[in-house]
Amino acid sequence: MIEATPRVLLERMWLVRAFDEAAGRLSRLGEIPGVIHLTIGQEAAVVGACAALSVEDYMVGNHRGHGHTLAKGGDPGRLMAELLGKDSGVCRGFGGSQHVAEPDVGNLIGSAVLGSGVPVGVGFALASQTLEQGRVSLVFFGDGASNEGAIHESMNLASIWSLPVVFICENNGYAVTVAARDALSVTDVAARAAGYNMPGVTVDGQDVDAVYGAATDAVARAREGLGPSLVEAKTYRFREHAENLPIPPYRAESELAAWEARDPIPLYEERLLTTNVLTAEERDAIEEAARARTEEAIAFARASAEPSADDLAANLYADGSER
Amino acid sequence: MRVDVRLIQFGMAMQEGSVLAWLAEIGDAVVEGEPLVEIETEKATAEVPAPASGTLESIVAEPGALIPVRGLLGTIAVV
Amino acid sequence: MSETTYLDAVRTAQAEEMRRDARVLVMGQDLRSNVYGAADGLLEEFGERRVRDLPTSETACVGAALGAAMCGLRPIVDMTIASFLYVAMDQFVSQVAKNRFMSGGRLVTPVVYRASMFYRGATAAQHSDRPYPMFMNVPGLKIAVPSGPVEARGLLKSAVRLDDPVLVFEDSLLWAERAELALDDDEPIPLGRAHVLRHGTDVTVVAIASAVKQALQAAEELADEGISVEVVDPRTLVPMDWDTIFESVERTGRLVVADPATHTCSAASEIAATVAERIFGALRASPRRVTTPDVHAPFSPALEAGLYPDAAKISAAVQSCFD
Repeated sequence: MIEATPRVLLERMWLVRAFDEAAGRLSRLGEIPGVIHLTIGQEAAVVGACAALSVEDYMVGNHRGHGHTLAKGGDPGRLMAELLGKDSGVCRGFGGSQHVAEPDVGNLIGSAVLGSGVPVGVGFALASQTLEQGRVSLVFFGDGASNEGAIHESMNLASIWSLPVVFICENNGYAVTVAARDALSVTDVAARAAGYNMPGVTVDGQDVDAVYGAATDAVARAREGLGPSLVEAKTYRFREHAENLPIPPYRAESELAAWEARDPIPLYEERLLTTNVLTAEERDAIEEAARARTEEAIAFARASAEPSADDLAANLYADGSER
Repeated sequence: MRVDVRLIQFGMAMQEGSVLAWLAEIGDAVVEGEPLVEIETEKATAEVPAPASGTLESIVAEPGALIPVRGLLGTIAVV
Repeated sequence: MSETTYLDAVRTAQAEEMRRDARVLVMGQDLRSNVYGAADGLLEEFGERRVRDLPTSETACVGAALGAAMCGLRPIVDMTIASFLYVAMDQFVSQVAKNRFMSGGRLVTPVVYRASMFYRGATAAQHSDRPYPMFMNVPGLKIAVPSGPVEARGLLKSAVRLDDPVLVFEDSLLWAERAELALDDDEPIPLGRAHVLRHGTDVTVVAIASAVKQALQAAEELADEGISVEVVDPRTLVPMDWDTIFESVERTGRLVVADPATHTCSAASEIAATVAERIFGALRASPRRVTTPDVHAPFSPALEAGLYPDAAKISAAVQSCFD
């Protein structure tokens, strides 16, 4: 397991930022089919959570999943290739941006239907417990998904069986245009944990140390057999729900500006610089490295071939049969 | 170097759009991110921003043209 | 050799597969108390970890079983009453059927869901569905419809050993059926292999689930009238053994499909359409479907009794092929 030092946390947040900025650009260049949902503004929430896991631990992502996979250690080249629909993509072009799976780093599924992947993530924990694998299953969902029945059933099931699950809610305040304050019966999603007899904690999702601390506690609990926990990270997405989506404004500009002033990356850099953990040159190098790695990923993806139509039937069933 | 201006897929079900108007003329300087082409889709009117900064080099899709998503609208010459 | 009932054959298959493979486990509502009749003795033999009672949370449980299957277990989920599959429809369609495909073939999903179709027993509309046609339309699932104890045991054993998700639709009208099981024969019945139960020359009757017995009875009666009926039990709907069905209809030139599902988009529809499309030249009469009308199961037996396929309706359909 790579130790989650401050440098590592910053490197990962920069990789997510650089990747998603590039994905946005590529989408406007017409190179990415379909729609993409970017993690920009939420890097601390995803990086802090995944940093508490080992590479063998399981993780379930969602439609806003580039950050999830990268934070878990997924390769940016194979992820970019997946976004471009290439055969060298993590899912050989079969999943795309909203359904990223990278089994090599425990990210077994990313599910676009809200909340739909969470029961499956509970199942990963069931296998871990039954087979004594010692692995934890960390499942991501947003404030909108926290209203889905699947999430409630999953929390109940994980609780009654004491499964090693960590439920992470990235509460970014909106489900597309519907504000959490209008859709949720609670102010803090974490308050729902008590209803399922598990600890629930709300943290500042823009503070990667805070998220990492809460996630680490939850992961430790799970690994010790003490059952599931819910960590709510209050965060904000700086871009539109889906990149390039032309929706009339529904968020006050002042609200966006206030959150952008709490960009998780400069916030953390400020902390590391003022405590002399990093020098300004080291900070610059980290950003450059992330952007260089992203450019390599783009070049790899662009140069890769598309999948063959022969693969369509071959991937439906394990024996490669058609209907 | 030349950068293609392509029709962005503004929404999940979008298959095509028609060009309403270009917001720059050939030879004009354009800035990455600034609106460049007005598009009409079944759902709404939207603007394709310039994907790069440079000079508008060519217009391939004139107003009225129906273009598939990710289809070519024009090109920008980038220094 | 041992004569057992349909349900006991299911129990036998589960116990055999659990002995054979430590990764196999069973889970279901009221399973430990054996309320649904196929779990007798399993808790005593295999213990709590492998024999689990489920809460009434179909979404979470269907998904968790899938997740567990993706991480090394091979669960058999007793969904109890077939109508309850709908409660977890998103899990079946968005997760169970799609995860292997969306991963580009990188994930394995060896999970089995079994349920009994309750009908003709005054269980009324919400408990009387015969849902398999809906699931036939979802690529990525396999579907078995055992028509007797031998089939129930053999098909379930196959399903457990497959790396694909399988839905087994048992038929409560067949619970009392008895047959000899060859217990020293561990060979499962492969999916996608139909069984010609009775050879004939004048008409092919493809029959599903409880309609198999009705078709055999009709065939006996029609023989007295000089009509030689061939009865084919497809045993699985996905994959469908088209070769056997085509070979039969090419000889007889006539097709009747008897299917307890409701009429529109029934399995019978798919079989009739495919035969007409693929071997039209061999047909001497248009295909007939004997199904349940497009109506929900009414409560009163006075209304329900005559709804489903029976020997008389099958006979009438056969005879109409000769008009």
